[in-house]
Amino acid sequence: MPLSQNSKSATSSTLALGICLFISLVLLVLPLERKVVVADMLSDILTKPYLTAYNFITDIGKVNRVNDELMAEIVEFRMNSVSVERVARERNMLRESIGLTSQGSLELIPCEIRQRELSADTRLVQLRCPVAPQWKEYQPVVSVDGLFGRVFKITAPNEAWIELLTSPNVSVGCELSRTGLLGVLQPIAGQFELSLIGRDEDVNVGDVIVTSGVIESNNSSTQNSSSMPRGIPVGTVVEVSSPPDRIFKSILVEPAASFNKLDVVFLVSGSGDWFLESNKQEIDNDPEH
Amino acid sequence: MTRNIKAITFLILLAVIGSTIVGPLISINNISPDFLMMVIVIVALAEGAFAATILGFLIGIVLDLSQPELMGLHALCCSLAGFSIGKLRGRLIMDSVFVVGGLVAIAVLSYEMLYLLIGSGVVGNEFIRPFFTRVIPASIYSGLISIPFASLCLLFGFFDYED
Repeated sequence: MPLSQNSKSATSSTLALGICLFISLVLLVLPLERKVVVADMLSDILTKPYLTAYNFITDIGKVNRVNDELMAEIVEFRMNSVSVERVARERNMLRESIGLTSQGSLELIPCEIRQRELSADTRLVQLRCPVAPQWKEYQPVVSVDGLFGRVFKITAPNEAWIELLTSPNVSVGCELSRTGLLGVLQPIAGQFELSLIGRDEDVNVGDVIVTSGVIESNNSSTQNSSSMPRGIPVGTVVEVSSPPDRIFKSILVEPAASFNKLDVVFLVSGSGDWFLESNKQEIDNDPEH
Repeated sequence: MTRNIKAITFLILLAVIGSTIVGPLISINNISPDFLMMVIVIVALAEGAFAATILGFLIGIVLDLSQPELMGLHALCCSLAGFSIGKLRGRLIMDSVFVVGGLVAIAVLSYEMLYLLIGSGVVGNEFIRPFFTRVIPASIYSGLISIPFASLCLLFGFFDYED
């Protein structure tokens, strides 16, 4: 190769690198809201066709197996539902007798995740519902196993970006289902920690954690309080310790939901909770409900 | 360049299939080989820095779509990796598949390390733990898996070029 051509090639590759780095840095310093908009536009062109086809093909492959599993679950649920309905009826009678009012049951809307293989660094995923639901900011999203994330940005009537539970911006008000102790679950350095539980409290490895519906806050905003219904499974306690230099216990939690591979998740609407009649007016006026 | 466009397209297709279908199947503890970086390295060695930088940038942008909070970071790391490996073209004796395997391992290590360094600063994650539990195993795994691909490339004279 002649020297001039060699030098030309080196210049063009350096120029290409400069342009690529410039575009990358511009994208990197954009505010998160803008990044999501850019990613949304680009994914429609670059990845949507491939991922749609890929998801369709993988769905076809597992339809029969999933159908069989679902049939088995339906039979099991039908057998259980009779006794559950009886217990619920008795519980509701007791609640009504002490003056509580039902706010309606939870409704789960099945949605599809566009990119099913998630890496450990994934914080936001794109969600598509077959029908346009009533989106709300910070609305919870659950997988079949438990809490998965919350609505971050609505980009179309039936599409939104979901902030995963693994995102450092997310903290969820939780309670231990065995004792009713309240705490706040936060992802810290790739692990989940249940904080604000006193060092003398009763917490064991294996305790199940569910959402408390009491606090659900974001680092930058507190407007979304109480948007998370009570009772959604979150995870299980895997490690408990009481460090001498801390006033709270150190509780590590294994999340119930998987963040590696998912295809269908559910958007949660309704609160499924009970309130005092005197508070109902206040709750009805709250835009979060 | 023109003679290899078909081969590059085929390699990209293989990498996409590898990342989305084969990767999850052969993953060990959620660690899969980085097929996309293998293609960037192979293209860098076959075509030079220009093609590898552009390819790295495009692949990076596609990867960024799955993590919009760090939009641009994959593109930056991949284009830098493509450029750096491309600059080595002609300075290495490409007679052994282990050279390619080693380069893939180094490229994955550098790219993931840079990504983790910048990414951990942006989203506040730790660096050390993922570096030892994810980055190093992924780079070794990628290097090993790239050896059969490198053999095929050597067999078909993909790395041959005229000075």
